[in-house]
Formats: sequence, C-alpha cells, structure tokens
Amino acid sequence: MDIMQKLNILSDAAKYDVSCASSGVNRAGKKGMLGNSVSGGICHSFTSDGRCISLLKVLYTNYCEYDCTYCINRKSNDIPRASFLPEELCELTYNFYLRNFIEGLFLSSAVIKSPDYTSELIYRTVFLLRTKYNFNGYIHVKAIPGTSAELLERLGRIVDRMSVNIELPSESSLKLLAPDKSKTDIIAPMKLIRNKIIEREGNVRHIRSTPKFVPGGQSTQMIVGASGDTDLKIVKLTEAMYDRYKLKRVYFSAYVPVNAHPLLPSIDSTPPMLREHRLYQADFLLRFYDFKANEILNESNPNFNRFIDPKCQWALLHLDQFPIEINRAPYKTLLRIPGIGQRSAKKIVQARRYANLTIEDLKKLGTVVKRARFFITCEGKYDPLLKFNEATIYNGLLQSSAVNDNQLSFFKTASPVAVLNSGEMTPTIPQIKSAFDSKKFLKEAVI
Amino acid sequence: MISYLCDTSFEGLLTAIYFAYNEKNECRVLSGSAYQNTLGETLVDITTNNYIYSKMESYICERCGSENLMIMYKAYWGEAPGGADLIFRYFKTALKMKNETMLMHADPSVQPVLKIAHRVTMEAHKMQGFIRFIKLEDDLMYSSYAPSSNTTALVAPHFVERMTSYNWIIHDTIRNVFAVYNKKECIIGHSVPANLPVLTDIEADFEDLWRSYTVHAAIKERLNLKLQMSFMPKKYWHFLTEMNSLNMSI
Repeated sequence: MDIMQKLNILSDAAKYDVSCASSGVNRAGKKGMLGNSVSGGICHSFTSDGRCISLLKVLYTNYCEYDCTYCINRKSNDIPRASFLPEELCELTYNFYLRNFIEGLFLSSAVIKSPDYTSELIYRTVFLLRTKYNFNGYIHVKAIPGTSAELLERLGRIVDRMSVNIELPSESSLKLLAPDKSKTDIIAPMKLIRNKIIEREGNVRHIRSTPKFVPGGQSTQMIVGASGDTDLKIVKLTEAMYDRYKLKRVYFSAYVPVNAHPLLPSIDSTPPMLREHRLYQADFLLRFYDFKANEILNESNPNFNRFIDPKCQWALLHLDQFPIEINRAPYKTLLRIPGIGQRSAKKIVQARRYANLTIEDLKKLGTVVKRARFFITCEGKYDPLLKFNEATIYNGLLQSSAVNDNQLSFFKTASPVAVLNSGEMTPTIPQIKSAFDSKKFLKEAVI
Repeated sequence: MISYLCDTSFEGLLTAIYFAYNEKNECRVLSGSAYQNTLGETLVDITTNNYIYSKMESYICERCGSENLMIMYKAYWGEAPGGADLIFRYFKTALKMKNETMLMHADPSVQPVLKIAHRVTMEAHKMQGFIRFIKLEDDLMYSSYAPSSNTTALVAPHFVERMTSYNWIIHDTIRNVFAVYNKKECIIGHSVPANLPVLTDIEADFEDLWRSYTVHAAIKERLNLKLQMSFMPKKYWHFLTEMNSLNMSI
C-alpha cells in the first residue's frame, strides 16, 4: 500500500476528532531544528465543511480491538484498514511543516493489541520526530485509556498537548454504546496528566530546569446526539472538567451517523449542528464570561432554546438587572450584556475614560449593537425606537437572529433526538419563564 | 487649505508629516497620485528627505512611544485610501496622549487608524498560516503570495524564528517586496534575487499528498462552503496549494 492510500484511509478515520488547536505553547525556534510554537495557534487551511486545518490529524492505525457502536473504526465494520510506519509519519509531518501546510502533528490511534502496545507505537513515532528529525513544532497526542502511568509520563515530556476523549456524557451511555471503555479508565490518565502538570509547576519554582510536561495542557471531547443525555448534563460535566481536571478545552462533536444500529440515531439523520453550536456558546460563557452551569440551564429547563442563544436567554430571564449603563457598569457586568464580548467590554472600559460613549461609538468599537441595544443605556438614554419590555426584546432578538436561517433549516430533517430537544414551535415568553423558577434561580446566580 | 503631497514610501510620509505639523494653517497630507483637488487648495509637493525621516522616526519614538510608531507603520502598510492624512491626525493626538492614544477607541482621530492597524495585524496573522513554500534545489524554500496589505515585514520574523536552518525567500507578488533569509539575517527589499534554482522532483508528490489530505479531512455530512470561504477568502486561493493546482510554477 502506498503512502497516499495510507494517508487517505487514516485521515478519513481521524476526521471525527474535533480538536485541531495548535495553541497554548510559546516555544522559540532553535538553531538546527525545524519549527517553533506560537501560543495563539495558527490555522493553515480550511476544509469544505468550514473546519480549520492546523495540525496533520491522522490515526497511527485504524485496526481496532474495540467495538464501540458509534465509531467508524469499530472492529465489526468492514472498511479498508491501514497502519503507518514511524518513519513514514515523520517524513510526512516534517515535509508538510517545511512547506507551511501545517502547524504540527495530531496523532491518535485505534487500539491495536493493547493500550500499552498502541501508546508505545505513538511514543516511538513522536520520539523519532523529535530526535532524528529535529522537529520542534506542535505535537498533540491522544492518551489511550488503559495505558500505564510510566508510558504516559514519558509521552507527556515530548508532546505539547494530550487529550483523553470522554466520548459520551454519562457512564450509562458509555456502557450502552462503548462496552469496552469504562469511566474509570478514561478518568485515570486525565488525573495523572493533571497531577503531573501541577507537580511540575511546583518543582519549577525551585529548579528552573525541571523538564516541561504537556505545556499546552489537556483537552477532551464528547459526542453530542448519539445518546439521550440532556444539554444540562453536558454543560454540568463540562464545568466539572474545567474545575476538577484543569482542562484547557472541552470539545463537542455533533454525532455524524456512520453506523446503523438500533441504539443510535438513524443513518440518514443529519448531525445536530445547532445543538453543538449552542453547547460551544455555553462553553464560552463558562470559560470567559464567568457564568456557572446552573445559570445557563437548570433541571426544569434542561435543553437549549433553538431560537436564541444561551446568553440572550439568560438576559431575558433577568430583565430586572437591565438595562445596563454602558458608561458606568463594571467590566464583569458589561460581559453579561448579549452582544458584548471580552474584546468589546475591554474597549468600552478603556474608551469611556476619555469620552462618554454613545450607541454610534459602540458601533465604531465593533460591538454587535443589534443584540446589545435592547439591554443598554448610553448616557442614561435607552434607544428611543425601542420599548423596554419582554415582548419587544424577545421579538427583536428573534429577528436579529434570523441570519441563522441557514443553520435552522438543517433541522427540517433533523435527528429525532435534536427535534425532541428543541421543540418544533417557537417558544413563547411564558414558556421560557415558567421553565425557570426565576426566584430560586436568582439566588444561585453569581454576578 | 494646504495639501502636502508625498510619494508612497513611509519615508516620504514622515517627511510630509514633518512639514504639515509645522504649518500654522489648516492642512492635510496626501500620498501617491490618487487624490482629488478641492477648490482653493494649495498643493505642496514634498521630496522625500531621509534625514528628516530618521529625525522624525526617533522623535515619534521619544515623544509618542514606540508602540505608536508601530501602529503608524501598520496603518501605512494597510494602504488605505486617505491613510496618509489619518496617520497625520493620529500623530497629532499621539503627541498629546502618548501611550494612552491606543485606548481612545472612540476618538475620531484615533479609531480609523487603529482599525486599519488591526486589519493589517490580522491579515499578517492569517498569512503566517496561508503562505506556502516550495522546495527548490540547494534546499532553498520559496514562497510567493499576494496579501491585500503590505504584510511582509510582519510575517518575515515569524519564519526567521521557525525555519532557522533553511535559506528562504518570501515574495509579495503585488508589491514586488522580497524577504530573503540566509540562515543568519533576514533582509526585506525590492531587489529581485537573481537566478532561482529549479524545482525538486519530490515537490509534486508532497503537493498531491497535501491536496488529498485536505479533501479527506472534511466531513461531507457537514459541508459548508460558505463558512470555508469566510475563513479563507477566494482572493487568497491562487497561492494556496490545496485550492489551486497550477500555483506552483514560479
């Protein structure tokens, strides 16, 4: 089998992994070596589905011992199989990098023979790339659940980022769909990596030459829409991942039906892209906007609204805290306004020291005024064309999100799970309202 | 009104700003030949003066801070219409406000310049990803690209860091600007390197592998060409290996 065929098979098999970030590590170039690493990450290309290509994302092999129901590489699937040799993969990575096609390597693998055997193959490849090829670019590897601690430690010293996929949001769905994997096996490497990173941080204060350990931190990924878990469950799990395991990122992957199985969405259903989009919005609220999971969703309202985004939904349910005066409100309060992100909030805080800001100024600053204008006053004045009440704001927001039509139309033929979650009708305000017990909810809110 | 007209170089611009700043009457700065005469306007042609330029540059560094000089550089590289006059106004505000200038996002003399500078920074960042090299004989890496703004001076340091053990050339085909690196230092200029070596044989193989990889990395169920286009605008396609198979003839 020639290298082209191998690359095709093993990139096809790896494409369902979402992560492609090359960020989090700043490493200077070295004489005699090829490459450096930029903390912001660099995208080198974009595929026809609009996802970025930053790393050469391939599996080492797609011969798999496991039989996970949702996975294209499961043992019982009849698909072409291939394996790289370490030299082939190094040659490919080095030459792609030299031509500035990629930012580094993302190496994952199906489980061949045993987790330790697979990880050893990954280690050998990365070791060869770092030592013989003098490659100094970004390397992200998957930690295979069940790998021994000693091997994980060795791997952690020569790569930039590691990730363990939690695959499914609950243990019960894991049992159902991935009988060979268990929660404890998945959590173990995560814990080990976290502890090693903390240990290194402590040591480096005393011994500056302490070798680096996974400097880019770890990330994880879960599949959305293959099991019956609610959005609330996923958001809560995400929050726990950030708090407990100090993850850099949690990725969500809308389930693309690749296998026919009674436990899975039908083979011709479309991936729940809007749901994935909403989860990412919630993920950003957790990471950058100081939101807590129970502010975004709660037990009586466990799924996202398909018509308005989580931040708008929160604002609608807390109209008593609005409108907010742009020229006075502290930074953290500005972040709560729909349409104002970190960049806008920072600019507002800086610019208002020199002049009072009007809504025209906000436009110049690059704020998304079409959403923000419902929730702000400028120099004490609310937009004279608008009325500050729920109905006006809700309808206004629906109109401003009409540009999302393209995305909504996916749901005309959406998967049963997605339709169930979103509800086909436009929800009315009382419906949203009743779903939240707003008084009880307010107490939990941290602002 | 008096208009100071300079050539398109940064040296020329700073020379013109020097004269305009010392002018007591209302005035503006124009660059290049694309300008519109207004009624009752006096046009003053400025000849670029390297002495004034270097004096001005150190004056700006001292009085406004080097960060402001960098912003003016970037705004100049943005090649925006009317950019020369915007930079002149920014300079006047920067003399008063020093390092606080870049915090005044809503100020009419500051905002347009920051906007252009930001656009240039973002494009330079994109180019760090979109530049494609080809390997010529003698291990020389060559890249030609065509950015909307003059990003070569911002892009080159990134590759100096990255490809220390190769000789390389980055060629901006629109402005005919070259960044040439010889494993020791990087020189940016307009001179054309003579006699480039020929292409190596393996080049086509790696390009095919890369093209095939970009096709296989896409999930066809999620096809979204509009999104792809918004991240990777069509204007860049002709120098992207994966989007254009005929690119790699020099």
